[in-house]
Amino acid sequence: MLECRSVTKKFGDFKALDNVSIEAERGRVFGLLGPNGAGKTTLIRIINRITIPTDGEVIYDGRLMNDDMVREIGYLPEERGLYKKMKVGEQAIYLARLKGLSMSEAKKELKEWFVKFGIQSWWDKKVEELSKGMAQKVQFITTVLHKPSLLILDEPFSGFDPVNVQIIRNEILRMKDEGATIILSTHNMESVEELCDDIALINHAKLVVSGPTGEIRRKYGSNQVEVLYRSTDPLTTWSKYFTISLDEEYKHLRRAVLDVEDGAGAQQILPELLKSVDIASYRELVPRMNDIFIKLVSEK
Amino acid sequence: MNFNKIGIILGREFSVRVKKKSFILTTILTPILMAALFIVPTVLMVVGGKDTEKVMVQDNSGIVAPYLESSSTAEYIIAPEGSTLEQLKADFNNLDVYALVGISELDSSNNVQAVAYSAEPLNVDIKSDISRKVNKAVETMKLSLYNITDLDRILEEVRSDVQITTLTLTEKGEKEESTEIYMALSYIMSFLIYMFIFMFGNMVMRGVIEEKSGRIVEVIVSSVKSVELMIGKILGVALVAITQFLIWVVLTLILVMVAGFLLGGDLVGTMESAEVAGMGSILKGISEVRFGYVITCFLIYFVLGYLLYAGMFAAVGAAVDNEADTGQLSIPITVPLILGLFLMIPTFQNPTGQLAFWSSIIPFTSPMVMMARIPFGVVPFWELALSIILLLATALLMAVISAKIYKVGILTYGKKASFKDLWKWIKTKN
Repeated sequence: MLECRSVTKKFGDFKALDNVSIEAERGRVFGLLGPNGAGKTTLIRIINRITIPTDGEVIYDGRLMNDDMVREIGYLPEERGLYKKMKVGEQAIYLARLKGLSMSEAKKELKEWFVKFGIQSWWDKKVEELSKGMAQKVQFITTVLHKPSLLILDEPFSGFDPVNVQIIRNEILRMKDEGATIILSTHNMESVEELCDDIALINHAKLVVSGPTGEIRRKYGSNQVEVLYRSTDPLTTWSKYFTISLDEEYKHLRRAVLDVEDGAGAQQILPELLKSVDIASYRELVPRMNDIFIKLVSEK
Repeated sequence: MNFNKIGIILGREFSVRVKKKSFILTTILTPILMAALFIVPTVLMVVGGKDTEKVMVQDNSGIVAPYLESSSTAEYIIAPEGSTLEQLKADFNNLDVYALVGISELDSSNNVQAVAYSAEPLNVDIKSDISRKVNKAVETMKLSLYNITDLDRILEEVRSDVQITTLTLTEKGEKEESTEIYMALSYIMSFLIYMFIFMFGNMVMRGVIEEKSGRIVEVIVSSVKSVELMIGKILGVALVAITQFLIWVVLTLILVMVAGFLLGGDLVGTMESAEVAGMGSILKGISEVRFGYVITCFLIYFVLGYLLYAGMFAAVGAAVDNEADTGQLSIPITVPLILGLFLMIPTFQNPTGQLAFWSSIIPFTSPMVMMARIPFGVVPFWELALSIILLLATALLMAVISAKIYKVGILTYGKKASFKDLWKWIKTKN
C-alpha cells in the first residue's frame, strides 16, 4: 500500500501541493485526477523521489520510501522519451539495470516481453527508426520489465491505436490481479470509469475528494431516477422522497426525471408512483465521471 | 551515492560515444594528419626539390650580371647583346622564361633600380633571390670604391655567426636549456588542455540537452539521483577523452616510427646535411625535458580543469531546452577559458612574472597557464601545490553548485532560464 501523508510542496512562494494525503491499495487501480497544473505531476514526482516534499512523507508498505525502493516502482511519465540513437534492446537493458536488475536478468525478462508483444525484430533497431506508437510500446515494456509492485502510469494510453490500447489495458489489469498497486493519472474519464477502483481529485494543489469510485459517483452524482410510465397526463404525485424535475412525452409513453432526496430509494419511491400510474421502466441515472469531474473542478 | 549505478551510467556514456562513427574517424584520422605534418615536409625535401625557373636578365649597369649565379631556385640567362628591355617585353611570350628582370644603369649615387616582369605573380623565393644578388653586387661595387686593400680578407674575418648557449643555474650546477623546445611544449600542452576542455565539456552539454529535450531524463532520475546521472555522464565523457588522447599518442608515435623506418637513411641524411647544429640542439632539448613530471602535471591539470568546467557545461545544458539557447548562459564558461588561452602568451615571455603567477594560481585560468609554465621548470613546489589545491577545491564547489542547477534544470521546460533563475535554483533546498 502506498500512502502520502500530508504532502506539501512549495516552490518559493508557490504552493504546488498543499497538505495532500492519499492511500492507494494493493491489487487496485488508483486514479489520480485533476485539471492541468493542479499538482498531479508534482505528486507523482514526489512519490518517485525525483522531488523531495517540503513537508509530509511517502510511505510504501509501511516503510518510509527510500532509494532502495526504486526497483519496486515502474514509472511511465506523461512526456515519453528514449535515446533516439540507441538500439531498442540495448536501451531497455540499460534502463532495467538502472532499476537494479542484472544484465542477464534484464536480457531474459526483455526477451520474454518481446516475444509476448511479437516485436523480436525490433531488438537491434534504433529508436529513431520506430514509429511513435512502436516507441511507446517499447517504453511501456521498459516501465514494467523489472516487475514493479508500484506502477505509476501518466496517461498510459495516449499515442496508442485502439488495438494497442486494449493490449496495454489488459496488461494493467493483469498486474493489478497479481497484486500491484497501480496509480493511473489521466484525463480520459472513460478509462477512469473502466479501470479505477479508487480515485482522488486534486485541484489548485489541494485534495478535493478521494475514495472508491462507486462511492464518489453516488456522493457527487445528482442522484436522479428516470421513470417511464403509461399515461397521457403528467405526474401529479407529491412525495417527500422526491421532486419532479422533468416530465415529457416519450415515444408512446411519458418520461419523468425525479430528483431523489438523500436516503430515499426505489423502495420508497416506487410505491408512491404506483398509486397513480402504470410504470414501464425505473432506472437510476448514474452520473458520468466526466460530469463529476467538471462539477467538482468548476465549483472551486 | 550509488556507485554501482554511476558505473552503469558511465558505461553507457562511454560506449555510446566511442562506437560513434565520428569518434572513430577523428580518433584515427587525427594521428594520420599529425604524422603527415611531420613526414610530408621531410618527404618533400628528400624526394622533390622545386622546379628551377628561368629568369632572363637585361643588365644595363654592367655590375650585376657576374653575381647572378644560377641556383636551385632560378636559372639566370643574360639577355642577348644589343636587345632593349622594351623589345624583350614585347617578345616575352616567345622567350620561354619565367620572368624578365631589367636592371637600370648606375645612377649618381651608385644605385640601380630593378624591375621584374612575369606572366603570373612573381614567386617569393625568386624575388628574394634576385633582390639578394642585386644588393650584393651593388654593395660590393660600393665597397670597392673605397679602395681598401685586402678587402676580401677583412670581410672574411669580420663575418661572424654567434650562437647563444642558454644555461640555467640550479643547485646541481649549470644546465643547458633550450628555450624553443620549452615554448613549443608549453604551447602544445596549454592548447591541448584548452581544446580538450572545450570539446569534451561541450560533449557533456550536448548529452544533457539530448536527454532533456528527448524527455528521457525523467525516467532516468526516477531510477537514479540526478547528481549520480551528472557524475556518471561527466566521468563517462572524461574516459572518452582519455581514451582518445591515448590512442592519439600511441598512433602518432607508431606512424612517425614507421615512416622514419621506411624513409630510413634518407631522412636522417637530410637532417644531418640540413641543420646539424639546429637538430642537435632540439634533440638535446627534448632529452632534457622531465617528461614524467610534465606528463603527470598535464594529466592532473587536464582532469581537474575538465572537472571544473564539465560541471558548468552540464548545468548550462540542463538550463536550456535546445542547443541554440546556450549562448548567453555559456559566457561564464567560455570567457575564462579563452582568457586562459590568451594569458599563455605573456607567460611564455615571462614565466615567473606577476601575471603568469596569478593566472596560474587562479583556478579558472590555471589549467592552461600553469601548463605553459611547467615545461620551463621554474614553478616552485608551493605554487604548484597551491594551484592544484585551489583548482580541486573550486572544481568540487562548482560541482555542488552545478548539481543544484542541473537538478532543477533538467525537469524545467519551456521558459528560457536567465542567470536570475539559475541563482534561484542554486538557493533551492533539495
